[in-house]
Amino acid sequence: MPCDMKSTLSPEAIAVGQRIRGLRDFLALLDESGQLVVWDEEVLPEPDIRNISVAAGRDAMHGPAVLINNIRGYPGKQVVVGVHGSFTNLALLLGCPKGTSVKELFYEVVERWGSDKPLIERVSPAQAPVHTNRVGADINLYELLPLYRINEYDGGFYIDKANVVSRDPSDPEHFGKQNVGIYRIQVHGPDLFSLDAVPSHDMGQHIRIAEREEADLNIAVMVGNHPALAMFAGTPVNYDESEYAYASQMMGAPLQLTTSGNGLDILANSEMVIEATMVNNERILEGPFGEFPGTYSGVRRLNVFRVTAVSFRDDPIFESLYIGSKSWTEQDTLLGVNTCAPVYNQLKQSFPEVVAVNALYQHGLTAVIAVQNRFAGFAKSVALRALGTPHGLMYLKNLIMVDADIDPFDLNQVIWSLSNRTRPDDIIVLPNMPLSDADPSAEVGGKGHRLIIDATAYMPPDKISVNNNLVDSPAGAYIEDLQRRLDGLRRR
Amino acid sequence: MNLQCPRCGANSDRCREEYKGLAGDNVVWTVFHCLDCSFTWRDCEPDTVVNHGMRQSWANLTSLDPEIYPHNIPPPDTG
Repeated sequence: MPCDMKSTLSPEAIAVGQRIRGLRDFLALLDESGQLVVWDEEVLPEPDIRNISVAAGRDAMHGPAVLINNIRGYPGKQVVVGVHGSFTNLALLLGCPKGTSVKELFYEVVERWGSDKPLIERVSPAQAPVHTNRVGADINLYELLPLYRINEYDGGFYIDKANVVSRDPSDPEHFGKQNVGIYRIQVHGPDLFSLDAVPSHDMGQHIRIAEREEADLNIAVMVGNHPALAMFAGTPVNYDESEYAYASQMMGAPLQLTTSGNGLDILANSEMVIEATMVNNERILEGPFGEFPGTYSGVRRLNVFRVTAVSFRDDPIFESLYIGSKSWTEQDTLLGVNTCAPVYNQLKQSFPEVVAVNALYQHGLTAVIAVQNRFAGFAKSVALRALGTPHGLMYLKNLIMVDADIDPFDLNQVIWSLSNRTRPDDIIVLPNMPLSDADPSAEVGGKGHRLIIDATAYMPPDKISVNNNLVDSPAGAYIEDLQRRLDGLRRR
Repeated sequence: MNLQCPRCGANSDRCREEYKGLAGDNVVWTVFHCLDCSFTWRDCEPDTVVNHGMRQSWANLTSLDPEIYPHNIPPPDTG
């Protein structure tokens, strides 16, 4: 995708980009900024890690990361949660001040968006910290990682924030088609796991090709990663675009890559890399898992992977996240801005009138798009295009289209628009479309209806109400100054 | 050992011991895996998770017929 990046990043952003090489560097930055808590009281794997994760994540704007280092039964093991658990943590990664608003973060990421200027630095496997220790036989994931149950009725212990690397079996040398994605991984034995990819995922394509062509599918599961890659592993970019390229470009600094023992490009500074091979044509019962809508998935039959080797740093940190709530969780703060940005950029290529996209909620199951209507009905066409973006294909269920004078990140303004500019008989329902099988309202998993609400103002040739002239409510610096004066005059 | 899968009720011979957590030399918990329904649990978890009779009924499996569980990605020979 063409780069529309700022010509220069701020000095703060450049400094952060040069400093961060992996998870540990970012934890140090969070610590210096008051955004890391080290929890050294003894905890039980369940339910304590879950409870601490939820408590840390209750403040989506300012919540801290928590490093838990005293887990009963797992001596010496460490779990970190909440690394991307607040928008302030994301702001620090981008070199922005604490408290930077979501809208500001959106435009910051949009301005750095692109994959045409990848910054990659190669590190030989012998020099890569991730290969400091290596196990190739008698592998036991329970011994290597402090695995735990994330939600009470999950079907087992999950690795839910790993960045998984796979190549297209029909074009294995293509760097861009090499995918890095986040998929929930359920551990089924010391060296066996399932992985939740679906056909619309890039890795789902790799699985289908490998099984159809009876080819080997080797993967690398990176645990505890550079925080920028974690953001892009969950970002819906185009199939032949590299998540490594996007992440490095966003940071304005190189990502250090090395090679896994099974031939994939991996981060040289990950905490751990689990190398595995798919067992073609095998399926295993997986789930339920507390998913992003705040509901449990069902039990399904998923692909099976056999671990072949594990590389890890000294004292590796198991990076995990809490997911599964009506409120925002780390899953939302990790992926939210990076879900908005690609939909915005992909729409912007066709329709420069698009102003902003808010797909923060439930991974975009409900999204708000602000657009300057070019002509009557234009917003509906933009909405239909949004459904054809990589993320829109499966996730954009309810689309609310608002005018350019509405801030889609301000729900007060969105509701104002729904109240004042929507005609209830002018909505669109597209029946029986493909849809994420995580949608709890679906009658059949994987299918569902789409809803488009055009909450933009009517314009000719549509009939227009005579009572639609906007009040020009006083605003601006003078009103803000008056507000401050009034606040200062209040009796204390 | 009177062991039973908390989720599907399988008998102990279908429950595989996976790993023992240690505090010093003492075993403080054990992880098990059900070979029938793929459920994994730690024996120190709350009863609402590891006691078959105390779990919410929807969270238990009443059938192990794989055909009732959907595929994410069907194997090629099944379309």
